[in-house]
Amino acid sequence: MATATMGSGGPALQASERQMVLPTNLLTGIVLAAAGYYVGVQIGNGLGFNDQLNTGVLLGYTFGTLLFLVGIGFANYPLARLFGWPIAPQSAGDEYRGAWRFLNLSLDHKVIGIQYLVAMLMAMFFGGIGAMLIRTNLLSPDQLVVPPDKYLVLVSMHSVMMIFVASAAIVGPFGNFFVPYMIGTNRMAFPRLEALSFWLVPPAIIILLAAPLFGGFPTGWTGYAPLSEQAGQGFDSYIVGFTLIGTALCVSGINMLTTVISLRAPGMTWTRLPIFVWGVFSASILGTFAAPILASALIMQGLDRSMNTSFFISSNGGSPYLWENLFWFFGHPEVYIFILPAFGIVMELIPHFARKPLWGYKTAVVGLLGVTLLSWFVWQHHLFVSGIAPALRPFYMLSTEMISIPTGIVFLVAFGTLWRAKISMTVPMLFCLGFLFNFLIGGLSGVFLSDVPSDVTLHGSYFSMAHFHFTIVGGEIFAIIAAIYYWFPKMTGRALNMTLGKIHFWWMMIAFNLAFMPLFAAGILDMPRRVSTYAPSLQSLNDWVSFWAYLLFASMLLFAVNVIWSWFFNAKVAPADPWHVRSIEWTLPTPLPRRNFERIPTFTSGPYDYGQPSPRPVADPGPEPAPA
Amino acid sequence: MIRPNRTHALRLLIAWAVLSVIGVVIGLQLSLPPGSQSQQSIDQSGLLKLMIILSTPVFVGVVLFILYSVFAFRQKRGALEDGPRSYGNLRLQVAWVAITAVVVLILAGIGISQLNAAANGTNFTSSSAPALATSGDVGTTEGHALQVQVIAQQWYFTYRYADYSGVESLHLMLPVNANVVFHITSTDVLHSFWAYQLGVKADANPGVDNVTYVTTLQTGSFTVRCAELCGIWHGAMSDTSGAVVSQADFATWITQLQKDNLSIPLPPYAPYYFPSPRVKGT
Amino acid sequence: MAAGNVAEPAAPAFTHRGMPTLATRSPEWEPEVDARVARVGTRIWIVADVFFFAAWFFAFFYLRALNNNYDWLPAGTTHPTRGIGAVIVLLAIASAGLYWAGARTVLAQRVTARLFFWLALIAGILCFGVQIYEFRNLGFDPQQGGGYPSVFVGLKGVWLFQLTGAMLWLAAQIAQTRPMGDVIIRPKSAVIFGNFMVFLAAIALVAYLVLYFV
Repeated sequence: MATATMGSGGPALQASERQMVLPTNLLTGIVLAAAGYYVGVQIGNGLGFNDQLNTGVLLGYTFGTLLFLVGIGFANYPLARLFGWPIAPQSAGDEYRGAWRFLNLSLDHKVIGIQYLVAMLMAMFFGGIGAMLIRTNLLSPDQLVVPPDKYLVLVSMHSVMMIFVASAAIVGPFGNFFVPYMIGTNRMAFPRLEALSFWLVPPAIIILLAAPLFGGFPTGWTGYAPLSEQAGQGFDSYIVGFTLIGTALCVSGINMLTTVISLRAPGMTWTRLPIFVWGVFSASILGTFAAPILASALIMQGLDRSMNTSFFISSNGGSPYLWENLFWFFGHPEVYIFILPAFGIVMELIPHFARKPLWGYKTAVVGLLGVTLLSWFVWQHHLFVSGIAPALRPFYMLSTEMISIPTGIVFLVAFGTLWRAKISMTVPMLFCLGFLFNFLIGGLSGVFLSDVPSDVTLHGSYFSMAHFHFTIVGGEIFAIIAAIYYWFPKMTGRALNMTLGKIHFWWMMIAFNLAFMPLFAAGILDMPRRVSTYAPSLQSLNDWVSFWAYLLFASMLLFAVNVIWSWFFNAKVAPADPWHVRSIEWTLPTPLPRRNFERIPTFTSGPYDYGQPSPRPVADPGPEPAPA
Repeated sequence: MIRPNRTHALRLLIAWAVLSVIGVVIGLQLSLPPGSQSQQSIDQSGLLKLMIILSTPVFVGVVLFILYSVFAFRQKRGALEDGPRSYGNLRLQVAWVAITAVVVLILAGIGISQLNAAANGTNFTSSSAPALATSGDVGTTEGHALQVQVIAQQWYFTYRYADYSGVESLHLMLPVNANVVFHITSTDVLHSFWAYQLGVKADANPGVDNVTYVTTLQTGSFTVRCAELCGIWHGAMSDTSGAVVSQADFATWITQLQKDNLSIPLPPYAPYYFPSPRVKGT
Repeated sequence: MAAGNVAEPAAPAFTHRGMPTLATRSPEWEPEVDARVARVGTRIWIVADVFFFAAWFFAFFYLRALNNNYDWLPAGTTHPTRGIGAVIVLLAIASAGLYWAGARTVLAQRVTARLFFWLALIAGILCFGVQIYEFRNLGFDPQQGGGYPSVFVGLKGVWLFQLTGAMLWLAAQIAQTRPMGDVIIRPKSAVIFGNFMVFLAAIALVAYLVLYFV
């Protein structure tokens, strides 16, 4: 057997090294996807259920996705195993050059991180277009720009697309890219699962974007039955698309959890783990265990719509409450999946830009894990006015109130770190501070919603909508943008323009707050969610909101210009350590070598060891190997 | 200039106290929805006001701290000095967690006590329908409660008065100073009955009899909206003609309604309506 | 055009598109690390799968308690035969048990291991067949609705889907024990697959008790 060489060509293969070779790439993936869709539709409609042709669409999407995955190369490894041929668990995709690496199956976690980043930004763009169309419709209380059924298609499109983005936009790009560096390993535990979690996303986005072609779906992201069963074929896009996203969450979570548990380098104890890794870890716990419930519930919806079972139809032995409970048992941990990595980012960046250790590190970890644990016990607060047994309400009110305690720990830790620090107001730091302000408002409004009597007025109104936009957009999206400004030089080797960055921050912060703050008032003033017509007295309020929403979108366009220009049209390579902070990824050169560490490092200090007179290095790269 | 911790803390504390007091005073002046048309509205407005008053110092404190830190603890331009090596202070952390826990538990306690003060515009499901009363006092605070069934469908509400032979109306009229029990159900998809000024919101679920209460205190009109996405005209499913009227006016109105309904073959009153109801045991 | 900050390897180290050669093994892919990682990962995955099935069991008990429109068991529904259900469970348990027996001998006697694996595969395929037979001979029509018929078809359907995946994996395990020079199945991964088989058999048993006896 030949030994490793990195020279051109390789040794001739011996009989024991013969391998399965299926020529697979993006093109074969797309072709097989189309073929799979067609076959699925034929089979589905041929089954002969009385189902308004839903089975065809469901099977078409499923087969299409499966054959896409086969066509892009995921079947190679299982088939090789099935035929008993030897496999070295190494990275595929390295044979591509240039941009083609990012358009094909790669098992390199850095490539996957960049693929995720681009996919998430594109999905956010589509969701943002939906938002602009919604706000345009709401300019007038009774005239509509689009017909009312199309309005709900827009609302549903915007909401589900943004949910997709929020669930994966931190763990996907930054978790996949940086967690191996931060724990000192060259590999992810399951690179194929990691790649799978990414490659489920483009089919999901395309399936969701295809929904309007089938008439869209009218339920918003919550998919409540029985309205879902009234809906046309567009709802099948929701079922399959959301199942794919849930699968991606579960698969990515299994990979991330196993990586952090099993592959930490020597010296990287649990108490030295960067808080960003803790944020990703706790979100992955929720993602891995909550997503399967969503998958089950969506399969039930699929069965109801194809085989005419009746999981959710009261007159036939089912119950809409079944869907509500299953959906929100997933749905509440889902929103903590959104925010826990964002907490991780903010608590990671503030010590670096304040040049002080993270104050209360262990408390912060306890806070993250406390949120993770409590988030399983609060879901019925979405059902306070649904008709649940009254005896349940006090318990869920208490648990929901209690979850604000570990959430508040984030502020405690941030304040302790900022106290007497040496703060540099860089663009990432600005966005972190913006996060703190926005999430404060979002979190406080959550307390209003958590008390049942006040929830009576606020549930299902624009107040609740403002609450989750402040927490998700003002919170998570601000954290994502902070992370992009921070890590862009290391991920892409290019520097973003910081003057444009500062303009972006102030523009976005002001526009966001002025757009969403009045929506609290709209909710208190009797405007329900998801409406296309509203009381005429609220027109000036809505017009004000729409105006600032357009400006918010424009600020994101400015950001997009900055990103695209810096990445593709500016040839200057960024310095290896532009922020001069103590974190292992900045000790490595730019551009990053293919192999993370030539020798696995030994970690010798915590990640935020500022203020030391003679600081120890973050990690000791280890002795040189003895000469052969 | 390096100031001692005490200076920074004192400045912050004074600014926080002053701004919080101002904020709380402003908050106390607000007249908050849902208003005072029912006992539930009064309770809910009170709770909202309490929460605004409690949130104000928190909001002021956090914003003040951020702004102050950004100005007082700034890195000198071009420098790269480290801050002090401070990893935490157990007493401060415990104090913070304890204080937030106490505030949150007090809020939860108040909310629970309001829930237990029977009837708060919230609800529970009941599997038994109210007995169909033929006559008797219109629900006064001393007497029998007025039973009103709210039937939601795409895209309007219908109201049936169980105490008056199940007569139907598209407009919700209620007597003042009365205990009213709503029985809310749907005939197709999920809706939600939201009587804004009354402080009542409860979901309408097909095959379910959602019960919620209100005690009316003032005459006046109120708006009814649907608060759960129910399809295309969800936003249009609103009705501004709801009204709380005097007992005499209500009696007149309901008598007229019963006369009008005589010629209409109404379906029998039931707690919920299925297209093809089955019988237990078959 | 910049194509990201990730450097490309010096030259292709693989001779076939997508499939690396044995020649490029590197230290972080040591078998022990792989085994530890696979153990942790499989346990996490099995817990996730518990949550998956838990949703169906919740649906069973919830809809049964509500009995909306007295349609939990629609009129004219015949409960599925307990005998056939028992056969399915026993075949699932047999498959798991036979696999375990094979996994224990895998290093010592490859031939015996292959025999047990083949028997486990056959048991699994028979199980699949009997389940399909049961689906085609149900005493009710799930297309007419009803709570119990819906949960029955759904729960057993997803279980069957996972059984199919397990059988494919088992076939791959059999392929790995084919005499092929220096390549043998890693013993730790046999234990991992065994865990999953036991899990599936356990779910089958619980589903049997719930669906046929409750």
